[in-house]
This record gives sequence, C-alpha cells and structure tokens, in this order.
Amino acid sequence: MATAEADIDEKDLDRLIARIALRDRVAFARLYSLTCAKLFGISLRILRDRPEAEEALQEVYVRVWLRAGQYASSRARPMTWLISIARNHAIDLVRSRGLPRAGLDEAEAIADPAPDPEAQVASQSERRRIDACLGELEAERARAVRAAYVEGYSYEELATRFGVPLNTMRTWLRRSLLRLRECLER
Amino acid sequence: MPPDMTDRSDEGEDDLVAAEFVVGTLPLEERGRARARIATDPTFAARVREWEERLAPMTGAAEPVPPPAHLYAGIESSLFPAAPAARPGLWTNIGFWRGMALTSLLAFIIAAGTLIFYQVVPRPLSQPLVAALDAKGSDVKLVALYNEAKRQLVVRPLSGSPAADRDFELWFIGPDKKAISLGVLPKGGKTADIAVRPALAARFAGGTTLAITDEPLGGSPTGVATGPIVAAGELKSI
Repeated sequence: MATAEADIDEKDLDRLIARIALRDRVAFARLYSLTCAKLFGISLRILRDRPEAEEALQEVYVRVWLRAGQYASSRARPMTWLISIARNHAIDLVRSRGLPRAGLDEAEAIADPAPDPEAQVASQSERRRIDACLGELEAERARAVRAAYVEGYSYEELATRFGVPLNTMRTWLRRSLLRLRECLER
Repeated sequence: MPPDMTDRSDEGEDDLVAAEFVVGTLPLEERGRARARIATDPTFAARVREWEERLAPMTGAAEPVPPPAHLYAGIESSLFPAAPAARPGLWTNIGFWRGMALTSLLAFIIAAGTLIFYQVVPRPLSQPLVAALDAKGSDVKLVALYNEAKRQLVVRPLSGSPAADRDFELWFIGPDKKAISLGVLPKGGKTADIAVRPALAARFAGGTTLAITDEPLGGSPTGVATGPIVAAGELKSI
C-alpha cells in the first residue's frame, strides 16, 4: 500500500527544478525535503559509511543548485536526473578510494528484490517491470547487476564476490544488461 | 574485451560502455574517459541518458533513509553564506545620493553595489542588476537594484516627485517592448521594495528596461501606461 508521499509528482519536481534554476531558495528547500531521503538511501547503499554519505549528500545538493540551469536541456526525467547526480558522486567516491571495500562479505545478503511497499518515485509499475526483467536472468547474474547498480560494486569486487575471473564477470554483466534492455523494450 | 561479446559493432560497444558507466562498474580511469565523452559526444551522452532512465527504477531497492536534520543547514551555509542583516548606512542616506551626479552614480553603484551585494550574497550565485533611471527634461531620478536570488527589486527615488493628485508607476519593459506594471511607487521619497513574481523574474536579465510614468492616483486605470515617461533606465549586471 502506498503512503501519501509514496509517489512524488514528476511535474512538481520539474517545476521545482525550473524555479531552482531561477535561484529560488524556497523551491530548493522543498525539493530537498521531497527527495533527500531517497537520495540519502541511495548514497548510503553505495558508500556504506554514514558520515561519508552525509557529506556526499551535501555535495549532491550543492550540485543540484549549481546545475539546475542545465536540467532542462538534459531532457532527463527529474528523479532520474537527481538519482544520476547522487549515484555518480557516490560511485566516484568509492572508485577513487581504489581498494576494494571492506565489509563485502557482510553485504552478502544483497537486496534480493524484497519488494519495498513504500518505494518512492520509481512508480510501482516501473519497479515491477525491471524486477520482472531481472527475474528473467539467471539468479546469480541478476544479483550481480543489482550489486553493481545498487551497491556500487566494481568489476573487481564482483569478480571476487562471485568467484569468477574479471573478464568473465564483465561479459556476464554486459550480456545481462543487453538482455535487460531487450526485455524492457519488449 | 572478451571475444564472445554478442554485439561487436562500434555502436554496440559504445552502448555497452554507456551502460557500464551508468551501472558504475568501470574502473576509475575508464570512468573518466566515459565522462569526457559525455561532455563532447552528444550521441554517447544520449546513450548514457537512456541507460539512466532504463535502470533508475532499480533504485527502488535502496530504502529511503531520512538524513539527519542538521544536514540541510550545512548545504545552505555552503551555498548561501550567512547574510548580515540589511545594512543601514550609505544606501539609506539620501543626501549622499543626491550629492552625486547621476552619471557618476552608475559607476559608483557598480563599484559599491558589488560590495554591498556581495556582502549580502557573497558568492556570485545571483547576479545583481542595477539601473539608473532618468529622462531628458525631467528632474525625476531614481536608482533600482534587483536581487535575482530574492526576486527583490529595490527602487530608491533621488529627486522629483509626482504632483499631489498623481502617482508614479513603475514598469518593466522586456525585449518585446511591452510594458508590464510593477506597481505604484510610494510617495514622500520612500524606497520601494518590490517582490517580483516568479513568472516575471524569469525575464529579468541585463538589457531590460525599467520606466516610470506619471499616472492618476493609484496608477494607470487601464493597465497600460497613460502618462509620459518621467524616467527610464536599462538594468545592467554589476
């Protein structure tokens, strides 16, 4: 069952970002309150470190303010635009740390698609659709795609975790992505 | 590249690199190369966008987590360093302004306005605009400062005032030459502090003109300027 806030209206977000481009701080505060939990959740899953995720989130919203003027020409949907800023920043941070992250073993219980009833933003139907398409992949490969996208695993980390050579992992993932696209476009 | 890729065309390869960039698995160096291509290659950038849209629903697997409440203050203070309260002083000292010729006034505002505005909004996130309003054969002179971040237009009369049974009305004149009323100015040499509505604020930029007309009490009855222009000036960025 969806809560009242479960679906953030895309048109509202669109308007807010347009107003932020005009340096409207009220709109900025509103956008933050609507989207910060979602983006913080995303950053935390990738960074796995609360203080670092908090710092990252601040940087993400600074970028949102500074780049709002480019949003219109990006032709992205508003939530996708925000998610991309958050994910790109978090992944840059973990990649630039260089070393594979500690705690990968404990992360074993990676998000099998225990459906989250209050999923925000991605409409339920879109979420169900991508879950269904991931479900068409071999279970292990679907887990690899999720571990990469949601947890920010690198090829190296994935190869270690799944016990396959790095190139094999890359082939797996690329094939999985092609199949995923084929399924989503069906 | 593994030899058994199903799609070996360059386009296919590009699309896969775009997908890998979005998924985030690329090593740092390849990630940097992909990012450079996004900036320079629109086709590649479009592929990245498509993958972003395609995969975004997967973020549903990351539980939303409310960040600590103090975080927003940190964002605000890094974007909008604390503003000292509006400063009395030169800006409010009418005698000081009257003593200056309007020609030197603009140069002064450009210098001082930069200082004043950047103390209030120390980073150039918002571009203050300034106009000196006057007209030949008219003793009406005003200065206007527009703060984009606050959508606030401050208009300070320097000399000249409407007759007792008349009002001065302020107009925004955009590139299409259409005048849009910004309201009637207060009498008695008082400074007008006008909140510009968002739709109009979007059109404020260097190159637009502000004009003052002489109108019946309460302003033009028709919404279109009826009286003569007693002062006008172009808004320029400082």
